[in-house]
Amino acid sequence: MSRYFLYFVTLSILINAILFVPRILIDERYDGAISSMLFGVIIGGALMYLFTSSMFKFRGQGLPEIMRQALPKSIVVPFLLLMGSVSFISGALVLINYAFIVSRYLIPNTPIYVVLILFVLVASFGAMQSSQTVLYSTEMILVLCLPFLLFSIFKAYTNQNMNYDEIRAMIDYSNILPSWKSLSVSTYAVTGYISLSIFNRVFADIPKLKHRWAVPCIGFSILFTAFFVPIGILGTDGVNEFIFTWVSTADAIRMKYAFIERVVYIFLLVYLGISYLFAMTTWHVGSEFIRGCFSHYQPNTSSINSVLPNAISCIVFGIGTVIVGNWLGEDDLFSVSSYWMMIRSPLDICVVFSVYILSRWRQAL
Amino acid sequence: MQEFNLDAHLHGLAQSGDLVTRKLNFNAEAAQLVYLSSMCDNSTIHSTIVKPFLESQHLSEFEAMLQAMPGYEQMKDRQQLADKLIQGYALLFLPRETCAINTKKPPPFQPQKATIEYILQGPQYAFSEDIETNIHIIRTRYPLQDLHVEYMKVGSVSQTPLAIVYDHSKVNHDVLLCLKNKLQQVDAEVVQASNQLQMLITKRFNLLPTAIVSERPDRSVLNLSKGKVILILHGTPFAIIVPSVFFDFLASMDDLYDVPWFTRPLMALRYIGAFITTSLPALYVATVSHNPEIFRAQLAIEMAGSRAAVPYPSFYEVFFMLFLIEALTEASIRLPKYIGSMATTVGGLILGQAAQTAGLVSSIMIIVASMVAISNFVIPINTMNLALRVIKFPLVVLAIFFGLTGVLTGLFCFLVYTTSLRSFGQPYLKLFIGEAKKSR
Repeated sequence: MSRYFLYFVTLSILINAILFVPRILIDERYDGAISSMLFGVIIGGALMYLFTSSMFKFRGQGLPEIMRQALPKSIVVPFLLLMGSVSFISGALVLINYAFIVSRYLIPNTPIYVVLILFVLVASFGAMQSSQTVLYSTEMILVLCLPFLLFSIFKAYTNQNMNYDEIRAMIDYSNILPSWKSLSVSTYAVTGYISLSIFNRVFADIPKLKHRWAVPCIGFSILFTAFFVPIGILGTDGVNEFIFTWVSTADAIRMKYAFIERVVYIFLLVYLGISYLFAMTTWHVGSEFIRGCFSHYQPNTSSINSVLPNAISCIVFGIGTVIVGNWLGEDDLFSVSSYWMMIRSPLDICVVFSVYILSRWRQAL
Repeated sequence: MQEFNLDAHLHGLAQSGDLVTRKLNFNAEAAQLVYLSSMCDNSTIHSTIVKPFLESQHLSEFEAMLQAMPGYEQMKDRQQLADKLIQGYALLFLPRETCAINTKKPPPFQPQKATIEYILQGPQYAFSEDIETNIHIIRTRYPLQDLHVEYMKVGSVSQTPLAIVYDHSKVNHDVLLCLKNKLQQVDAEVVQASNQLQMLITKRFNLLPTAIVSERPDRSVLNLSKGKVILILHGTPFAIIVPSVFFDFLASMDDLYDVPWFTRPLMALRYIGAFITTSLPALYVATVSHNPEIFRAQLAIEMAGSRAAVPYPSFYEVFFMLFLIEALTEASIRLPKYIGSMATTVGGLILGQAAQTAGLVSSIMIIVASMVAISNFVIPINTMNLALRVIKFPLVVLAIFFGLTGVLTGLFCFLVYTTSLRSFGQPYLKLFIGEAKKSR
């Protein structure tokens, strides 16, 4: 079972590393982005160890149940609402971002709100399933998508236009200390472990999580690729010209003998699946948090339980996503996502430490 | 001695055309033999009743001989007389008692050759339509004392006999309990087919079947050894296997009987076939109408060139050809065998060719349609076959509005939906199940 933990952490590393993180890191590339990747992954890994071991003291319980046992309702309900909205917003940002990409590259004639409505419907449909279903689908779709993604990354590294001199030039800037912005952004990339606060419910039957060491390794290698490949292909300075850095990078890669000549289409379709998956998991986690505010609803772990609170929260946030996405422009989106990541990292640290304190407290009892 | 009044004993059946009555006279007394000629075996009646009658001098001697016969039952309850008669017993009304003797015809059902899940080298016979024969087949192939057989009846009117067969040492008791609950809740009047029962015990509006209906005894026995439960319904040569997961539907029994070097590529072929039959029409619409730029230039121009004569958007031709293919498939099932092959020739070859020259559909669409039809039939289990035939239509609709994005969205939703299904509490689609390898 512990492989499922790796799946949703990998998923969130993948989605952040391609959609938001490299753009901001590349902005900061002369101001300590490289060292921030290393520090960010180390900090994220340490938080992950702390969070998972504290969560595993509560066998088979999600964060809503844990908090409701230990704290008064007046603290728990706002906290859960906040956690739920945070989770919903991070999924919604991915959806809005990808809707922009899709309407630019794949269906330019369709208005963006139509695309967003489709995305929101799919994400809500996924989020209303039980936790097991979400995990099984994550595994299924990652296993289907990853070979294509690895192939396109392989094509990127072996591409003729990949200029390793640009990367070497970049390494000169690696001894600069990271700025707060770049550090929080790279920490955000490995933040997927927070989903364990809901999925801990289905990890009841395993003694401990295995292969946790893989998370920082995966995180670092993906961040490294996501940062250096665009620089190698688009140039140290030229990389600044692109908004969707990775899509433009993939567009620079060509497969000479394949049916589909341009790698960007494989990349876009694979990332469509991964974005759906990410939105589905985060919205599931978010709706479970909000469901946790109402104590008479049991956790949604089997198909018998009612999905009414999940459906309502998905509808509310879905409508919000469509409205906000329709209203934002591309440059707004970029600044909104970078501010979001700077807020999000301290929040995650708070959550991790509060769960740690709760677990110590429980041991003392 | 009073005259024997048949109507008093067997109220409803006295007028029945196949009811035979014989008076067996002894010196002073008489016995009355009654049976239904359609249900009873003449030679059995001769050897168990007529022969003792001819050989015996007195009624008491005759009675003693009857009591020694196999299948002798003394009837106490008058209400049961008609039931016994219908079940194929011969009734003997003796002056002091009434008895029933089993003279049932041996069932006319022989195991048929497997026709639906045909495999080349392996067991060739399928189940028969008789429940006892089928259980006999299973017991012969699975000679363990842990094999439990429980009988029950389904259908409030048809009272169809149903056998629940499982290996007691291996079966998952939660599944068994869940199955029995579902069977108790079946409230159909007439249950006559395994597919129908499968639908009744699973959710009715499930798009995908969550229980296999198979005609192969070897498949059933293999699944028994894996701890699954087999349901055998009287009157159909099909067994229902529960619980079943998605991968079971794409597995053929051949996969176990040959070297992995042959079978693994064939399995891969089936999965590719399943993908093609669901999504190729949608991919055609998406790439022709929305995203021709994803292909390399030569291919895109080639496709556009083949569509040059077609006067309407691509989804018209897709629906036109899919309708034709589905109609052909349906017609070739309904038609008698010999006319069926003619219909496919006329439909497939001549109509397709003519539609293309008339400029109604492009030549690539003909290839797409035939690929869809052919790859549909590599799926071994018929119910899954039907389910996948249905799924391509929503995908085409999504492709019309959203192009490749829509196709991928549809496939994503389909995968999530499939994963969300549970077959009697077991996850339906889950990777790395960790199945025991002993059966290979």
